[in-house]
Amino acid sequence: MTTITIDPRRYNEPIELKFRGVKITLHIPPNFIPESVQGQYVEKNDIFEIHFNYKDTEAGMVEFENNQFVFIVGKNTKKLISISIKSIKASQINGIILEQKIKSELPQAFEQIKKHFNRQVELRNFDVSRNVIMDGADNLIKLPA
Amino acid sequence: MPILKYIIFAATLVTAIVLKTSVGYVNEDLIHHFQGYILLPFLLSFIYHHQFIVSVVCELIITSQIISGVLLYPRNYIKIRKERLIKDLCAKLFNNNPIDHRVTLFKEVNYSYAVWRHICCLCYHLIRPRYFFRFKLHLMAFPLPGNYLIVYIREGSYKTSRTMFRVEENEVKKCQGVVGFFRFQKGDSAFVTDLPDISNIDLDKVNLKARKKAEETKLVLEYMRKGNLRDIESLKIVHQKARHFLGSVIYKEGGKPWGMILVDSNASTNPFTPEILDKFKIYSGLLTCLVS
Repeated sequence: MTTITIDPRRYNEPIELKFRGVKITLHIPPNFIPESVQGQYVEKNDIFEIHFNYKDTEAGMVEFENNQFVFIVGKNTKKLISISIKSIKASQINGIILEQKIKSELPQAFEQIKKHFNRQVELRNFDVSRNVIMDGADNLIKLPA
Repeated sequence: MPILKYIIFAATLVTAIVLKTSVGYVNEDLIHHFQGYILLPFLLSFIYHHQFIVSVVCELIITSQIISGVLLYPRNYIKIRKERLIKDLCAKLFNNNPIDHRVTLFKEVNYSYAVWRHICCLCYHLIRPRYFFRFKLHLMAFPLPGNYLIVYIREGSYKTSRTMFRVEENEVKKCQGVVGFFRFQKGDSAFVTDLPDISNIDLDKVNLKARKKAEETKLVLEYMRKGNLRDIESLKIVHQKARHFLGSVIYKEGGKPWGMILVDSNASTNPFTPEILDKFKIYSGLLTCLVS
């Protein structure tokens, strides 16, 4: 299992939005910024799981699923809790292929899941999660030989 | 209704103690002594003939009341802590200036509680002739289905205000007021500043439907638009027409929103400096810890 720790100050830029002509400034709550990200191959289900750890714990639910990825979000807050990449062994995916897959196909899946949400805080959470994965994909992925 | 709850609690406890103590003193002479009274002989003879049952029931009541008191105490203790925190926040942010600024802790309640509270509010205003105009306002603004934010603790003016704001998890259009909008967005330290000053405008004289709108009407309309209020009745219910707002959502364990903390200000310029925002963030974090 590999872990990447996140510096919350990097992602604490205020969000500015307009509602009925009024300028509103808001910050992303601390419980919406993951503290760390873990990558792990789960042999039992043949999936590579990327798990986001937050300050608090919350039950998850499947929000988006296609033939490659499963996105699990928090039941109440809708923040991203984990991403599962399916059929690792079955498709004979090694570390290099998985990294390429993450870098090329995961952003599209992120764009698709973002369409389900309209709150700025949730959208920012997805952006932060995507950036963390993209920046640390090479450190995050470790598949058994 | 905490006072009523305590009165019922104390009355039940005292009655049980008196009954249990009196069991040993009741005899036939005493029953004969009170023969002329209406209910007392029946009560005394019941106690005399069922001494054991009365003792056991009274003992059960006393024990359960004491245990529930002990169990309820931590909740009161947490509320006192929250009150202190809000008071401290007000002092730290604005050097205790409750005239221009105030800090409110809103609690999110379900529809049935909101209706019950609204009915209590109507009764409260009905029995006070001075506030009859507010009774009419509240009557017109009967709560629609949905969750509501009610004033839980407030430091500043109108501490016991019964004003509440509708919130909806997925529909921003159904959220009421700036606080409702902040709650919908779930942001941390969200702020809106420089709403128009309408504190000196008599809202009863404002005609929103007039074809040629007066300056005052335009200001009121702008305030309603920026303040996320859809009708003039809702605006009239709001006691203090603040100009600047700063709020954060408070979460329960498991990520469910518990309520909101809101700072509102009547100051002529934007009072929310970066230092105030930093302090506010610390306090809202502390409140989340207390709630969860």
